[in-house]
Amino acid sequence: MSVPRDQEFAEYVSARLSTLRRLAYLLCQDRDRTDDLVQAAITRLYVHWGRARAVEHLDAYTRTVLVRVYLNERRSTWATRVDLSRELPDTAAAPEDQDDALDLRVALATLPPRQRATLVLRFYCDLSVEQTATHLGCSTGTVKSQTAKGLQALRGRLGPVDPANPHGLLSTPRSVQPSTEVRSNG
Amino acid sequence: MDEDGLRTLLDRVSGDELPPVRVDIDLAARTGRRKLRWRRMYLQGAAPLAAAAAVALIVGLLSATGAALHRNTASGADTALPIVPSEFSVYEPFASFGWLPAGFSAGGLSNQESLNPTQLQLSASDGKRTLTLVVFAAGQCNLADGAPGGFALSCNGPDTGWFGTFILNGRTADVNGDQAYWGADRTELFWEYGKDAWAFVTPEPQRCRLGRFLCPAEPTSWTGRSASGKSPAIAPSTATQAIMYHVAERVRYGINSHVRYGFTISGLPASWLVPRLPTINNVASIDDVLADVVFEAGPRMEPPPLSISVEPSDLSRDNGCAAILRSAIGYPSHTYGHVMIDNVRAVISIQGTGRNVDTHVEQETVCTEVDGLRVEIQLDLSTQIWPFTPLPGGRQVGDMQTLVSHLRLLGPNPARWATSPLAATGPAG
Repeated sequence: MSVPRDQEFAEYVSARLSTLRRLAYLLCQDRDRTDDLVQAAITRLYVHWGRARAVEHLDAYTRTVLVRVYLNERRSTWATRVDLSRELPDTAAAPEDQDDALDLRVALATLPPRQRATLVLRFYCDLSVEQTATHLGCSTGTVKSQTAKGLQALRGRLGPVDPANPHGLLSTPRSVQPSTEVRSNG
Repeated sequence: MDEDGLRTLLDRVSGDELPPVRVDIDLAARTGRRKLRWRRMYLQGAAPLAAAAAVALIVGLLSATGAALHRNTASGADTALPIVPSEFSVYEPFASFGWLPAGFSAGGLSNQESLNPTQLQLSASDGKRTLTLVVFAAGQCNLADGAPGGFALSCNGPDTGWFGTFILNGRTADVNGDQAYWGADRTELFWEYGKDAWAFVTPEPQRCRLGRFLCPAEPTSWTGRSASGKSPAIAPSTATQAIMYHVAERVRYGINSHVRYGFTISGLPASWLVPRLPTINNVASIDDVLADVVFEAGPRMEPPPLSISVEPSDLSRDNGCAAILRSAIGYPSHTYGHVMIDNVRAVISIQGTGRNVDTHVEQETVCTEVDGLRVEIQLDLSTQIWPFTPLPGGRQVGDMQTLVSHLRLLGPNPARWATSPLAATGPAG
């Protein structure tokens, strides 16, 4: 294995590590699983580094690998994950862990993995429907329907959120329409 | 909750304080190298797949509709349009190189770059440069216009293969009468080789983008860019483009090469999958048989934990079993043991225990020569799933002795080898 390959791989991953961990955390909603997910993803990235470095958007490729590792893991290891969840976390909850964000975490955690991944890709990574479909390996219609269902599920749990007051949930619900994109196909 | 509200909250949640980083980049590289090693070691001494293809007969299915004849074989003869399946056989490759530039040899089906039922990838190299051919099964790609360059080709694929949207540079001369397009900077040539079925060829190393990550040193003659590795992508030279066309025009479709296995294995759990085409490493053509394949199976698609390679000893390369076992050492908790294969005592290298499951064997490797055959088996459970269906009779997951007790070797004559390595399935798992 060439040293340049390892060097460029290490440099790339080091530069993106924080981003990958944030995304992994949003996907798995488990602080203790986050790094395991990233570890598995970058291992797979290394195996396919020769191709990855040649793609048009390496970050998108890496993100896709991470999402698919997450989805595959979720699909096949739920039993293990249940066992692992009994373990106590080795760090305390963040002090700013207020009710609203906690509610969102709980709500996100209740979403099916693909639905959660769809929302994270669409609204955290700001990907288009088409890009999200590519990441997830599904049709754009599926992305739209998953988005609509995911938003609906979150609304059911959280109620509307005031963008001007992002640190707290609105006390007064307001009418919110799904986007045209979702409405037309969802 | 609307989309803006969700964006805001996701941003906030993503800012949660995470535990100290446990990600180990070096470990990822070591583990990745271990996975690559098993496959790459063969490629260095690979015999030409083209030689195998030259003696293989084209047995691709003929179009029942009498579609236009416009497929050229390597000798220039026309054959009928193949019916392209929506999934390829996991036992026999659907396409092969029909022509390669002087000095190039096919490295076999490129396992490193992955194969799967919807995508076939082959590579050929002269030691410095590589030509990669990717053939998609029918229905995997969708051509759409409206992209900035005029057209885009969106292709599905597994995370181990090629996938995504390729921006096309515009239509170019047909390949054997089929519509063809250059990629954005002419580093790929795409063509529709069958109904709703696409393929492309690309030279590697190819693109170079600004920034150091994507600019490996490479010969200037191949891509036409400077050797400094710092310049942006430049279209391949005219000569390279001509080579790409020539390769594309002579790709053989249909099942041209038959694969046989020097062993059968029984007792695998029924839930285990044969996920993809066998990896054909050191290809030798004996009649129409491609010898030396790596068979893979496991409870999940990628990476499959079980790899078995059986080849005639006289085809063996320089890499001895001692080297293989040495290179298998990668974990502190590494031990040696022995297993019996056809009454021959073989060394087994056992590595690692899982972090969460005490009995989780991460990797076992066997390499030995038995009855004129060289046998290499790798059972790698380091990234596998739980609950895991153990091998029948196994005392624990990863019991290599149990595995080899279900292995039947078929002798050094490939003519007597099996077309399927699965003798029987085991109990449902």
